Amino acid sequence: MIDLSAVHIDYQTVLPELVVTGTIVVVLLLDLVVPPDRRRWLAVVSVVGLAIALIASIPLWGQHRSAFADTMAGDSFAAFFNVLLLAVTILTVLISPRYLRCVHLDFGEYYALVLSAAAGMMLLAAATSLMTIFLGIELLSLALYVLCSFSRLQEHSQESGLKYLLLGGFATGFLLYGMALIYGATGSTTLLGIRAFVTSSPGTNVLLLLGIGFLSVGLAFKASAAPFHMWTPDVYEGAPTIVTTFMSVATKAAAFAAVGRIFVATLPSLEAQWYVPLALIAVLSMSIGNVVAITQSNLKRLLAYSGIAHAGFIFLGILPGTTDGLAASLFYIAAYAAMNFGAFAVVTALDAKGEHADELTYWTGLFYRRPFLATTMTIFMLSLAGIPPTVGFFAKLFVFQALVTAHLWIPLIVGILTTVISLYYYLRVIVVMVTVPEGAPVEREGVGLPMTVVVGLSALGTTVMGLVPQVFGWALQATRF
Amino acid sequence: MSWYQLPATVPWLTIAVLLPLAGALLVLLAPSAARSAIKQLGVLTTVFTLVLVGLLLGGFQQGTAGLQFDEHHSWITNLGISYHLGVDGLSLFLLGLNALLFLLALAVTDPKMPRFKEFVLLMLVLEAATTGVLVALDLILFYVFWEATLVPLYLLIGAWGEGRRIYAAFKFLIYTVLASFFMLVAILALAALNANQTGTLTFDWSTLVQHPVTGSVDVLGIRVGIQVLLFLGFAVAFAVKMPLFPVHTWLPAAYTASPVPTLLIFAGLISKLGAYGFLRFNLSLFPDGTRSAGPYLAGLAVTGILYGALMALVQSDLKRLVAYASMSHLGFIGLGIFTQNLLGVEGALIQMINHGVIIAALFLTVAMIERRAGTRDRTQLRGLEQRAPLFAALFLVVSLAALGLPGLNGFVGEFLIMLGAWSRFLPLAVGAGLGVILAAWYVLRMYQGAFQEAPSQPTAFAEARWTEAGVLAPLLALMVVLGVSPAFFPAAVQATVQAVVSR
Amino acid sequence: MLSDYFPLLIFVVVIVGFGVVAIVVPGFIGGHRPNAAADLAYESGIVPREGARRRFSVSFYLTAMLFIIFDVEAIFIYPWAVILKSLRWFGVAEMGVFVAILLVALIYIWAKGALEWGD
Repeated sequence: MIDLSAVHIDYQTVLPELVVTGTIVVVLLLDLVVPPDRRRWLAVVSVVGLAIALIASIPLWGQHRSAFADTMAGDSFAAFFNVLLLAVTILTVLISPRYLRCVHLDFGEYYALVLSAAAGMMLLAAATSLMTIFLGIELLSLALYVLCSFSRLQEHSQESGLKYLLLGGFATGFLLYGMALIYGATGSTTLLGIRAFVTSSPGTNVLLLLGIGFLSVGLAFKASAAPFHMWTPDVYEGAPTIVTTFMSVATKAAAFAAVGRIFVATLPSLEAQWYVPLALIAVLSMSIGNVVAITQSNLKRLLAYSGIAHAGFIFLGILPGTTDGLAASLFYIAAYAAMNFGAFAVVTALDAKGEHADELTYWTGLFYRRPFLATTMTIFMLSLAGIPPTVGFFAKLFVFQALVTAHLWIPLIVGILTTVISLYYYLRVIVVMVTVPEGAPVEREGVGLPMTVVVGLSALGTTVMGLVPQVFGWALQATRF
Repeated sequence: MSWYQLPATVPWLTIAVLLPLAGALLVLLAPSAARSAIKQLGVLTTVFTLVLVGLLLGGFQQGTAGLQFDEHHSWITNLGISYHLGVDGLSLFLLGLNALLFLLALAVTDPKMPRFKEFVLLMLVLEAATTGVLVALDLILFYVFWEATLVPLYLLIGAWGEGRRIYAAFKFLIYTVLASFFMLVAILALAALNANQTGTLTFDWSTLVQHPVTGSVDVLGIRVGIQVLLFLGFAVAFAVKMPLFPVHTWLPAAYTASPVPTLLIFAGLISKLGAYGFLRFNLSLFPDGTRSAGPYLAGLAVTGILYGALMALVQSDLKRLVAYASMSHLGFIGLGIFTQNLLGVEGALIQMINHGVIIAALFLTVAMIERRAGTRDRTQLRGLEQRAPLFAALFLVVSLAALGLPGLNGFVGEFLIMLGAWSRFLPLAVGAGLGVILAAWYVLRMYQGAFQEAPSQPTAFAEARWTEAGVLAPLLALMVVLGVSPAFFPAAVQATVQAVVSR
Repeated sequence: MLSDYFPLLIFVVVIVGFGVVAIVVPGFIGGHRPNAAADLAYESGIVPREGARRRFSVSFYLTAMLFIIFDVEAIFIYPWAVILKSLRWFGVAEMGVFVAILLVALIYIWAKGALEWGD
């Protein structure tokens, strides 16, 4: 007989995920009956579902639930990521209808796919077992593979989707192999079981380390950290800009949720073993991302490399293996979400209007054509460059602080040097925007209310999030597992 | 002792920081076509700020070393970061210089320049940031303001400059940001060490000052005091900003490329922020580190004096000449700071004000010459004295102040610095004296060449206008007042300086 | 711990060994009488008439994919059936939800015309 009480079925823990999944079903069915010119109602339904899920996530704050035989956690960490991911998804859906109409991609499946990806990410953030982690990663990846090639008639988009699929499949192979080895070594698939094994039998376990190594490869791929970053620029460039906006922020956040749970919450006692490979990933990401970004003339590729670099910075907070360091990483993720989402949203706003709007030359003199977009973009660029008083500075400050406390000098020095390098290309974007255009100034045109609100909100978040002390307090609270 | 008592409940310093920002907000809302309205708005904002700072100057309790107009609120409590503003003798008069120079800079800004609105906006944001640098007493808060000055400066040079402006702006930015990060690491390390000692993590200057760090670490096999390392971390940032000798190479490019109003701030004020940083942080937080590393920096400062003077001698472009002269004079400030005695530091503080006044006046007059003659090449200007005697007189006073003539302000500071240096680094004092002689050479040659020699052919050169004289008047008045009665100044700062040098 | 995997090691050795033997040994013991018929791809099969690269109707792929999706999902029902008694009504309800979601998918592809054949 199977004892169901031992499994500990607890729907409140997974309520946000359930709500999002339910919304997917509703949106799919609605798509069948809603006439094509009313598709924006799908967006409305999606936003409502996501908002309910967001509200359902808040009660998880401060709890320490563990459900479904320790495979899912309902804790502050999950709530933190749920709120972050859902907020990003809501903002994405808000600016989607107008963009999709402009590029003639207004299909109902889009919303279902974005919601599936969001559900996968939330699952990943709450997962405390290798099985659920894998489930979350696959759910988000499969949806994103389709979304990347969503622009069916564009070769670039097809290339993007196929590249992501093939390389992603490869990474999944690594991930699964790593999980199998970890299970073989520890005899458990739950993180709690693995932790218990690691603490009860110290000493070098080659099989386990090998498994952790493969697992890190898979996760680093999803977080687009070097040296597993090769797909990022091509996929980001080819995918529809709105998809890039979503995945550049949300996928990274979800991947780091898993990294945090695995390395800091489960394996802190092995810090000595995993420190070097993870530090290498961080250092390589920061160096490659920031150096290669200098040569980019396409804004989507530039932001892709910048995203690789930021993945490196987020990894810095993991390195000390402490929850305080992880809190710095969490704050960095939230900061990155605000500023990078904003930057990509601006690209999206321009992309909806003109051909080749993602080429830097198109941005010449943007201040005089689109003062609002250019001003907000300036804020995002300054924040990405880490210049005070924007949130980007505070994010770097907290991460550096964690490194100094842990006496990890080499990653710190690399982080600082590459930050200086990064100034060059972030500021170049600003310089291009203030350069006086040669031709006659193009007519000023609006971008629509939703885009204005979303970009404005991102800019507001980028400006004040660092100055409001509570946000870092939340990050600290979220890491009290 | 103070002239009057200001109510303590009002957050004066926060207002001083926010006032330019409020002005910037108003400018932002104004239509960019309303150029004269924007100009009035900008000038009015700086006038209000100057009045406010004037109020603070009068309400300052003289003869006490402690912080005044103190504002202390917790901010990011988890990391010990607080919102702490305050003024003492080190920052008091710089605050005044700051407000005055911004007023002058906006007064001379030409409303017909392209993108005037954005220019004024950035200048006001810059003023808020520099004010913040001078009053912030939490290390992270200070760093925030310190870095926040960079973006407006970068854009002001990069978008409104002349010549190789983008190159100059990038060079300045990369130098200063790279250097600032050394300071950031030192700040973080200092707080971490202090937390190890005292058990609480704090970035508050007034707390950190009471617990100087001790101990030493091995760096590449050499035993180095922790204070020395931290000192160097801060010193790199401030030395680049000032700039001291080997890290000065951004200066000629940036000064030459800057538009005139920005240049006033750049030369008059921003360089003082570096010197202020040395006084506020290096000398106060790491007295032992300063004692071991200071002599080397003093040596660099004297090298800078001589190097700047020699470079000024070979320049024919007046703007570059003044830029190198400025660097030479900044060397005196550096020398004064690292004497670490009362005379030297007090001299440095006075010289900081003097230098701000003199260099601003010099750059202004050079800009006036350029606007009239269409060139600022020393070799092409001849005999302007006959055409514009009043202008020549103004220029002469500024020049004499620059070369340190007794009776004008330049003398007081340099004299005190030399006295201070004499008792600590005799050879360096001799080198600095050589610099004074060289200064006389290049300044007088500049004046003689441009104003006195007979012109080869008569050129049109207009007399000084009332507006120009009006802009220069406060600077000239300060030169004379500070030169004739220098005593009031030390009275206000002596207690603070005494506290700094006796640590 | 690691010794549990000893059978696996034997398994691997046998697999690799069989492969090597099957490829290497025929070269020594087999006779070689090459002729036109023996060199064909499928020596004793139907004689190939044209290249294998032909365009199929996309409906084949679609149907194949849909079949696989629903077939794989149906596999979940087998283990469920084994323990249904101990799961009781809870199990019935959960599987009901599962099948309902599958049903939504079926309705969706039906309405989208994925089951139409040709035009």
